[in-house]
Amino acid sequence: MSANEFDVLVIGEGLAGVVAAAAAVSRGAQVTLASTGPGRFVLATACLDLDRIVADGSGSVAYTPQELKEAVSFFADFSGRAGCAYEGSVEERRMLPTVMGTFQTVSLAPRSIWQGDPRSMAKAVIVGIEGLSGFDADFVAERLFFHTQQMGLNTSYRSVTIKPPEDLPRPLTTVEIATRWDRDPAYRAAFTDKFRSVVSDAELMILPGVLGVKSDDNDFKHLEEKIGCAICELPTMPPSVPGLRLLRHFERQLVRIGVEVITGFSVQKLCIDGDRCTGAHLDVPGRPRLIRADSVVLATGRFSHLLERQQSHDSSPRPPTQVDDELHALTIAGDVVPTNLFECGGALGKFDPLHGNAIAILTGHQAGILACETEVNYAAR
Amino acid sequence: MRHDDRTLDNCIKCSDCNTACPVMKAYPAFPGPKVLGPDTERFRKEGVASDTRWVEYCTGCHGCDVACPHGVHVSELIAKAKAQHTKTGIRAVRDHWLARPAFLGTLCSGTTPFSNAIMGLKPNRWLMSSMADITAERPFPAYSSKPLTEADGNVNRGQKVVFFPGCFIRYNNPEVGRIVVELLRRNGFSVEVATASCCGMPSMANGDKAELMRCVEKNVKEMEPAVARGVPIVTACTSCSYALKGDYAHLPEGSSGFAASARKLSSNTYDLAELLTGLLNAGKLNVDFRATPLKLAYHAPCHLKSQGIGRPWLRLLRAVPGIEIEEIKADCCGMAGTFGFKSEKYPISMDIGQELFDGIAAYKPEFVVTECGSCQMQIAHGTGLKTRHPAEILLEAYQNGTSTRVAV
Repeated sequence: MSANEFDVLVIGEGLAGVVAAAAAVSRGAQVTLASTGPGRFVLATACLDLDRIVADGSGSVAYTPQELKEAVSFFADFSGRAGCAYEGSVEERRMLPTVMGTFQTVSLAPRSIWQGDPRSMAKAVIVGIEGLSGFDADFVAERLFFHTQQMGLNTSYRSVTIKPPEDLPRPLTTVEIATRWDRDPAYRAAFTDKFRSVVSDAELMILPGVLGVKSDDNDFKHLEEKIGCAICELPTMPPSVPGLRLLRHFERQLVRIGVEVITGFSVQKLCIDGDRCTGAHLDVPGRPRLIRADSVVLATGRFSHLLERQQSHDSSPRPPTQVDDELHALTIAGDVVPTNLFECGGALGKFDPLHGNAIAILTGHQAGILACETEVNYAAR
Repeated sequence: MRHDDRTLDNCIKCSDCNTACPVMKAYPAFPGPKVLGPDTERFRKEGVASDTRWVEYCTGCHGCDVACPHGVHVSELIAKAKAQHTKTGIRAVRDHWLARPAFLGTLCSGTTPFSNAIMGLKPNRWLMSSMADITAERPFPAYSSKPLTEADGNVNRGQKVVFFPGCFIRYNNPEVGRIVVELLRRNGFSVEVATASCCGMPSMANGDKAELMRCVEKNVKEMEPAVARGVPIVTACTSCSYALKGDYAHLPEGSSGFAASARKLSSNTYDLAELLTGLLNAGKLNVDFRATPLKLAYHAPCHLKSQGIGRPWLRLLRAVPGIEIEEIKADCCGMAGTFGFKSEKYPISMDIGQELFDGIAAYKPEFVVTECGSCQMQIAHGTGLKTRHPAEILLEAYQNGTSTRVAV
């Protein structure tokens, strides 16, 4: 086996799994990504908050600032190629509005969200959509105004609610609008006209995340040119359209760089042979499907985690998985079992469950690389 | 896979299934899989009356099952509700017959060319559309006067397989069946043709549980001796292979010998391309191909996507020198078996397929390949392009591959 021909299996299609798969490809691996479902993307705000990981440390995950920087820049580059580029950097801190009318500190976010900082403009218009559940433009405007006043800023927020161009059943969801947006050019054009007519002198238009699941960076650029001001989408209740959009673009980018993506089937068991994990069985109709691999990355998240660490039937949350410095999963007794099995993402260590994105990117990047290095070392031996 | 009641409790209302539903995208009034599946199932289980009319609009594409991150078998819950839903009037009569493609096949194949001529007559189509709610917008598939029979098998000294052709190949496109037998022969297999019954997928889609169970029983009984000897069952239609693999494994309930036989049939069923890809991986596929310059668009049928076996036909056809083939990434084609023939569902069916039709038009292929007979009809209708079964292309790519009647 040459160093360029080894198989890495990544289990889980959340942010950690996506980054791990891309990182393994960048190190020359042939990668299969298997997942039961779309990870946390449907719940995603799509924003990266690096403050938490920097302030709290990251529990059982050891890293240097340089490693974090490399992982983040790898991810930003990947997202750009996928067509939804993350803007910002490890050093940057922006205050971006939320659907609840508060501000969150964000280091990186996709273009459609990145421009909402009140410190960079004086006038914003918040556009609501009649019949849409879970978004109230008046409420958001009032709260954002209150918060900017508290911060001593003079940004003004005006709210306006527009009628959607086509009568859809009520209550409307963001996914329904996004679907129409994707499918019907006339619907897009009619919405764009409505946006243009309410913007007037605002520098920024804030609206719920409805602008299509298929839209990419170019589409947003063109839309901003047409309506004459910057856009900031607010991710709403799940399923979040900006999250679905990221998933769609990331998945397609993975396929473009040669990853085989198998979604919809859970992993039944890992194949452990001595100190090696040789693959996994997928639970597909008929009979289990065996995916062989030279190394395996677990990016299964905390919620539907693969490795049962305790036989417990109470409702207490599972303890986090412990790993060593090289992200090997450890048993309760602290032993490494398979030397080519790596863990990353939400299942790891103590971290704020609301701000796991940074951990996912950091450890996903590391696990993808370690999965390749261990294989190269093993082949050399 | 787990098919017990507990999977219902895994639903956390995340709506992932709704984001994958092709009907919801084309028809916003449709309540969607979350409501029709796990939400309403809780009421149904308690015996609370609920409005079941919408369940008819589920195409059974399994998109929701594949999307669900928590292993809820959403489409099965909807299929169960379909079986409890009572239809009235002409739609009840229409769906009764649409649930029985094997009966229609025997009837129409036995009466060609009259049956085809009658089905093609404009006044008749108008009559069917006004009296039976069967759309006059799309053509009926022609029936063959020489349906596939046991005599089309090729029993030799090779490794034994049983080919389960399904109704579309058996009655409408038996030439594809003969091509499948020849492909298998050229790769060292001895082929028996099983012709017991329809796989049952159309009766499931039309909510006819009694007919479905009759199909399951006939097929399990016919193929039981072969399965017991470990002979693989091979299909060339992805809806048939899904039915045999996915549905037969849990439809006969309990732990009877019959249920065990059905499960054994499930675990012994292979899609043709899955079987041939296994040979390709092991370096045992007959690769005596000639250069075949073709630009092809491929559509992956929904019931292939829900089998979790990847895109085996893409791998096989890419093994042929000269073939350029790309999968057109799109949702369901919209046909969903008998769904697209129903007057009230025809516009939804075409609207669902639009993304696929546009994708194919943009790619500009010579023709389109897909292994599902119903997808083939829809794509031909929606794009005006010729559609073919990938097995036809593979056999033609062999040296001397055009004839299916090569001496053994």
